[in-house]
Formats: sequence, structure tokens, C-alpha cells
Amino acid sequence: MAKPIGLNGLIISYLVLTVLFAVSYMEKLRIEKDIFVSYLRMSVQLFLAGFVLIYVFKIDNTIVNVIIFLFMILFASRIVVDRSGVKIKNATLFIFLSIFISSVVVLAVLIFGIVHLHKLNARYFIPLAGMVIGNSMNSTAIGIERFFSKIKDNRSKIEDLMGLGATEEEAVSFVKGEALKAALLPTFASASGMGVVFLPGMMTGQILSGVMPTQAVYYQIVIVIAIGATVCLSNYIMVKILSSRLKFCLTYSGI
Amino acid sequence: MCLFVENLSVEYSGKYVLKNLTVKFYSGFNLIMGDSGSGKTTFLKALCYLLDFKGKVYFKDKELNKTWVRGNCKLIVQSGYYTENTIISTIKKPFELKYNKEKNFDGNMFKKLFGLFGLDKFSSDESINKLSGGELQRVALIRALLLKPKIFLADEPTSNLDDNVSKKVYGFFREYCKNRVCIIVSHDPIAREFSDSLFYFSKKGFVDYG
Repeated sequence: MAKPIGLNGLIISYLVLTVLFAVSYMEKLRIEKDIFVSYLRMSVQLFLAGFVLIYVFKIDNTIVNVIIFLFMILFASRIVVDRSGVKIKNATLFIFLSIFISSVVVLAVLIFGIVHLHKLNARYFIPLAGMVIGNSMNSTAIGIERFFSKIKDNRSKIEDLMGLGATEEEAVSFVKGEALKAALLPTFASASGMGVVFLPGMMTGQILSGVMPTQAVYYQIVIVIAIGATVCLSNYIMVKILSSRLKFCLTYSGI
Repeated sequence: MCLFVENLSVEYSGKYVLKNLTVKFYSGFNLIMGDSGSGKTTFLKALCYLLDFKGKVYFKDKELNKTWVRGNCKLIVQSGYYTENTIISTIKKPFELKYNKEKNFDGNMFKKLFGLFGLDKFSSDESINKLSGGELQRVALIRALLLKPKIFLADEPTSNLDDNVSKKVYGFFREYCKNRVCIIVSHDPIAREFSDSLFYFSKKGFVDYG
């Protein structure tokens, strides 16, 4: 077991935050409020998660686990919509579906095929789902933003292709590719830095709680691949849905 | 062969760009001239189903739908052409599209146009980035012409070309348009010399026959 940090440790840690406030103040960034809100939100959410997880692990009921899973995806989808500034109808639904389908597929392989659990054990399912959904959330936010900004920049090229007989989906296929690439690149970049540049969070956590580093490596590799697959699938599904409904996408981007 | 446009209206955020436009085009080189902002580009885009419109369009007395238009009506936009890496891959791109699958790339016609429009100083697999704006416009022209559509639309197809090349382009249109309906929007006085009929769009939105 990891050595407990305790309240004192936590207070010292919060004092470290003054670095952020100091830089913001000195450089007149005026983001003190954002810093405060973000870290307050993080702390409240994590404490709540900690308390909830105690009960979730104790109950360990499949239906409860699935409800939490759906809630996590819904929350992630809302964040993607807010962060990317996308204003199309049903955006949350499309992103929800993209993350849901991809994470269900990947988590099924991960939990039943690799970890060999016989049911959705909360202790494994919730944290693994969290990592997969969280990464999908970050990448789909980039993907959807890029998709629409590229459509806006390439409006005449898209019209040119449609004027030559392309369907809506054919006309945006080059945009689709660029959005996908932009969404996937950070995931690959982070994968190639692991182990040398940094030790990923999950592996660090396992090592701190006493797991042999060699064993932690197994878990880490499996989760990194799972994240890569989910990120790729969720973005692929998302751009597929969006380009098959190009008409309102064009309307959205001001064409 | 006749393209009949009946009561065509296009609205942008509550304002009419075109209102109840009724007009007939016969096969040949139909030239549209007119004030800027009178809706000429909008008209071509509507015929090509690139934007929503109200009204009906008939070709040979049959009402048109989007699927038919995608395969049989081609438009050259004014600028901002889609390109691939080389001249030839850019020109062949439309033949990969679903609605053009039955069309065959006519190599002889390509060679003829490539020379006629003064592009033969390039090899066909030259990088597209080496082309000037005017050269790219000629590539876009060749690309659309090779599709041999029943309805051929062009928006200012010679805006970046000198008079000498423009004459060759419009001269070619004259022959090319004999067995199809061509609607060409242009400010270029040279176009008038070669066109079969002239339509004038004024800001008030009506059409004069000249």
C-alpha cells in the first residue's frame, strides 16, 4: 500500500498552486479565476468520486456500474460540445454514440478477453472505462473542432467537388482525413514518449501502491493500446456520422 | 433539348437573392451577364443543387432531382478548386466519384484540350503547385469538360486568363455546347462574340433576353 499523504500533505500541495497564480498575476494573464475554478472543481469532483467509489465497489452491481458508465460518457460528451464550441443540433448525441460504441467494443475485449473477468467488476471496470472515455473525450474535442474549421476553410473546394458530381460524403472526405489525423496524433505522440520521457499515471499509481513494476508494465501496455483503439474508433465514427449529415454541417459553418 | 426553370427562388436568412425566376435555356452556349450581386453565382449553384431553392427545374420536360443532377450537370466554380498532387490526378479525380462511375476518361480529348489551352509546356504528371492561378483555372476547365455532362455550367471560367486563351476557351465552348445545354456566367466581352444567346441578370432579379 502507498504511504498516506494526509491533510498536511494536501495543504502543502495546494500551496504549490501559488506558482500558477503568481505567473498569471505577473504576466497579467488574468486567468486567476479560471485557475481557481478549475482546481476547485477538480478537488470537489475527485473527493466526490472517492466517496462514491467506496460505495460503488461495495455494492458492485452490474446495473449500477453500467449507469455510471453511461453517465461518464454523457458528461464527457457535454464537455466536448462545450469545449469545441460546436453548435449543431444533436451534437451531444453524436459524440455520445461515438464514444459509447467505441468504448463498449474496446472495454469488452479488455475486460473479458484480457483481464479475464466474468462480470463487470467495478474495481476494474470503472477506472478502465474512465481512462478510455477520458482520452476519447480529449481527442474527439480536437477532431470535431478540426472537422468544422477545415470545412469552413475549404468551403469552395467542397463546392467544387460537389459541382463535379461528388456526394456530400465524397466532397468532405479530404477534410475527414485531416480531422482524424489531428485527433489521433497526440495519442501516438504520448505513446512514443512513455517509459522514457514520463511514466504514465496508471503505471505510477500501481507502482506507488506496491505492484511490481514489471507487472504494472503489462497493464500499462494493454491500456495504452486500448486507449489508442478507442480514440481512433470514436473519432472515426464521429466524422462518419458528421459527413453523412453534411448538409447541416455546411449550414453550421456558414456556407 | 431544353432546360426550363420555373419560379426559382433562393433565400438567404430571410432575404431573396433570386425571386420567382422563370427562364428557358436551349442547347448551345447560353451566356449570362449582369450586375454583381444580382444572383448569377447563386443561380448556377441552385441548378447544381449546392443550395436550397424553391421552384422547379425541367430538362427535356422531365422534372430534375438531385441524383440525376449530380451525374449529369457539372459546374465549374469561380475559384478555390480542389486539387490533388499532380495535374493528371487532379483531372482524373471526378472519375472516381460515385455518380461519374460510368463515365470514361477521354485521353484524346484531354491531349487536345491540354494543347489548345496552352498547357503543353507541362507534363501531365507535373506537380499542381507549380501552376499559376490562370493555369490552374485551365486545368479546372479541362477537368469539367472531360465529364461531358448534359448540362454544363461555368462561373467566370476565364477570369484569370488573357484574351488570347479566353478566345480559345470560348471558341471551344461553341462547338462543345452544340449538343448540350451550357450556361456560362461571364463579364468577359469576348464571351459575347461566341455565345448563342444572352441573358441579363439585373439587381432587380429579372432576366432580359438579348
